[in-house]
Amino acid sequence: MVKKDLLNSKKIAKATRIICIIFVFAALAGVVVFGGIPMIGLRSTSFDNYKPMIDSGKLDLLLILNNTPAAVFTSSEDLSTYMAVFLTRISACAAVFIVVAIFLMGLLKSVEACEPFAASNVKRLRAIAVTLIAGSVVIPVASNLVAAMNSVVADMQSYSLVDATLLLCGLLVLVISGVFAYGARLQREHDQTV
Amino acid sequence: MAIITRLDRVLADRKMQLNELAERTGISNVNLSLLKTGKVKAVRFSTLSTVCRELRCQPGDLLEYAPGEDAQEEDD
Repeated sequence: MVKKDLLNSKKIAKATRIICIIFVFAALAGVVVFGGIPMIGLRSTSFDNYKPMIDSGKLDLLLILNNTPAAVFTSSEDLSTYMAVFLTRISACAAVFIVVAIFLMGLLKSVEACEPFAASNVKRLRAIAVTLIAGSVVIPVASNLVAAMNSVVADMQSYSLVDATLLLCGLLVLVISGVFAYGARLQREHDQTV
Repeated sequence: MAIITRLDRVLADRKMQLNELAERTGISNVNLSLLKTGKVKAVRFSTLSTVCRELRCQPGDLLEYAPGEDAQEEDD
């Protein structure tokens, strides 16, 4: 009976797990390509080489995330600090995402094995909730700390201590972990019934 | 647990092995073994009915209530 109910969920869980693996690698690649490489490039090249690119709008793609006009940067320090903030933010987001994805893959694997209410899944969900709640504080605080180093970049930052979306997601997952804990207890009682 | 199973006694009286009972009832060896050793939390009526049918006995022959065990559990 249980296996029949979970048949569709098994297929979706397998597909989601494969997508999670792809997204983990994409997150790592994104940090390197969009954060690390420009950061290294900025430090080794003088601002004069970037000024034509800023004036022609070629760097707008990198700056579009903050809706920032590139012309506001007048020195390499401004640009490199902005890139540091950007790198900090995407690194923190990638770290949160990768940790959540790892726990999520474990949970999805147990769904594929038709054991959605295993005790380990309760721990996984709690770990995901803690990661999201911690990330909701760490991501904005870390990027704002780096932004505070430069007045130009600091003016453009919206200073918030908490990412409300992540916080809400974390709290929701915490509630769901409680539901799964009840489910695990019912599963245990069912398994001990002949 | 205050409820004790006497499945081993009834099996011995009927001169039947656990494997044979498992085949006749369709209940797995593992579950019957857990039932025999009293390591289960609950028994479905359907399972009890099937076992009683094959062993030609009453539920009271298989299950016994030991009040001493209950009191010990409360103390714990």
